[in-house]
Amino acid sequence: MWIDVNASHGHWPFDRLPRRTLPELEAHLVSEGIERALVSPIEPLFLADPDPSNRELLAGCRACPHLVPVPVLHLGMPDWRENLEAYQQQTDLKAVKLYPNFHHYPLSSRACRDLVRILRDTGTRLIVNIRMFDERNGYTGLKIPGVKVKHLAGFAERHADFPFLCTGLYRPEILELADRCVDFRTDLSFADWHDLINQLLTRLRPEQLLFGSHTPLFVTRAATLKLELAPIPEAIRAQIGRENARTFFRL
Amino acid sequence: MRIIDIHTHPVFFGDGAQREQVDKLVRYARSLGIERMVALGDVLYHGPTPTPEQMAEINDTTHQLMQWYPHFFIGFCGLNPLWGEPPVRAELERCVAHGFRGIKLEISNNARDRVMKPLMKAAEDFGVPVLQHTWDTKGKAMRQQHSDSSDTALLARRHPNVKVIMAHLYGIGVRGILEAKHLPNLYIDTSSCLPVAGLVECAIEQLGDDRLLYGSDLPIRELGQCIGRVSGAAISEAAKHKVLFQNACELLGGI
Repeated sequence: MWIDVNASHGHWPFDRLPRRTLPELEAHLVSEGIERALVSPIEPLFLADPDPSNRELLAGCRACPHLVPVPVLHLGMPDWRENLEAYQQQTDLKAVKLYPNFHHYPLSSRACRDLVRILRDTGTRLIVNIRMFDERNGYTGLKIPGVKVKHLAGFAERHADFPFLCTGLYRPEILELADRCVDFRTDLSFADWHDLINQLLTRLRPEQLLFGSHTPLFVTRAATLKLELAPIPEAIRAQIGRENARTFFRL
Repeated sequence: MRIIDIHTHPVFFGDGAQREQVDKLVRYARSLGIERMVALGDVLYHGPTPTPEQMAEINDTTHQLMQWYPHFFIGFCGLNPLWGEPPVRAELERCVAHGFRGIKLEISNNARDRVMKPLMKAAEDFGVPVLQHTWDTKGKAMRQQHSDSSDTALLARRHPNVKVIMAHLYGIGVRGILEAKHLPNLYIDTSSCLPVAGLVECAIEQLGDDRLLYGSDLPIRELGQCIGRVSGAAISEAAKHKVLFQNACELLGGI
């Protein structure tokens, strides 16, 4: 059973995707062999205020023990600190997620620096989403490029003692970032190549790789089989598929 | 789970041609249930418009794989339609004599160009399918060489006696599926790109379950991921079997 660090809940309007309630999403993930999943709401990508969606997620996940709610923070909004504090009071918050390319703020912003300080003090982890879709094939009316590696590298340099997780990096971006930053983590949802994991492990440490499915935008089993059928030692498979997430997010 | 992979490049920009690399790949693929791989050749090794001599070298590399593993690799030969009829027909004849069972067309030209006519006539005469690289290139300059799904659909419409495989379901998207809907000689393979949910279901809904073929685009894609996008789709088990195995088996005239 795996721990999925990149799942979402809600309606993505640009593809005909399965629409699931939180209990249905939980049942689907468990049926695919995922024992726990970090879930963020999709709706805040398209709304100015992510707070109502986050509150719905936090409330809904109380009845779904396999789902770990990860609220979305919009650092361009004036009340993100209050929201974060409220989430931390409501639940044993494991992580928050940023979508800098959807919300149009730089990772070099003062708000990012403040967020890192707060998260470091409270022991909450940070997930930076790089992209939600393959820019070559997405809906023609949606032009949102992924977060640039140079911006991630700059963020990592400014906060050298603050490990964070990227979701949605392509394989070449992972390798490029590995050259410039020693302490990032990445999921494997957008990374692809024959014998991918063994290739990545020539440049990254096993603890830097985490299993992510990008459900419901991607087929969940494509992610599980990418891990399960990879020609790697079982200990590495367990580490990537479960143990790294357990350690990093203190699950 | 029985699988035929209709879209692979076991040798890619020169890598993967060594015997031990091929042995390792075949061993791994078989462990996943892959019984046959259609090897399309190292098609861009000499760029988008290879000469007859360069393409013959590429096809000879594919032939080497077929000789090493005659019960695993099925060869499709690369051709460049820009050569004109005599060299195209000569190379196809040479490859068919070596046991090749199809043609792979990459990005030498657009599938709607007139230079396709003699090649398609040769394909019909030899009774082999044509696998055409296709992408969503509508409105893009790259369309001159990268065929759009509407271009490949036109090719199939012009040559109803040739079975045409439109590559890259995830690169052509829903529009590509709809372009293929009313063309019974046009197939789509599931190769390449990322496993966007819902597309396999859409293809089955629009085309039925006879014209979708499993493909990976190895080595650009991880085999497990590619299998999972079909086996994890919300379609019947019977449809999965047809996509992963049976449709390709019938298209190839048995394995």
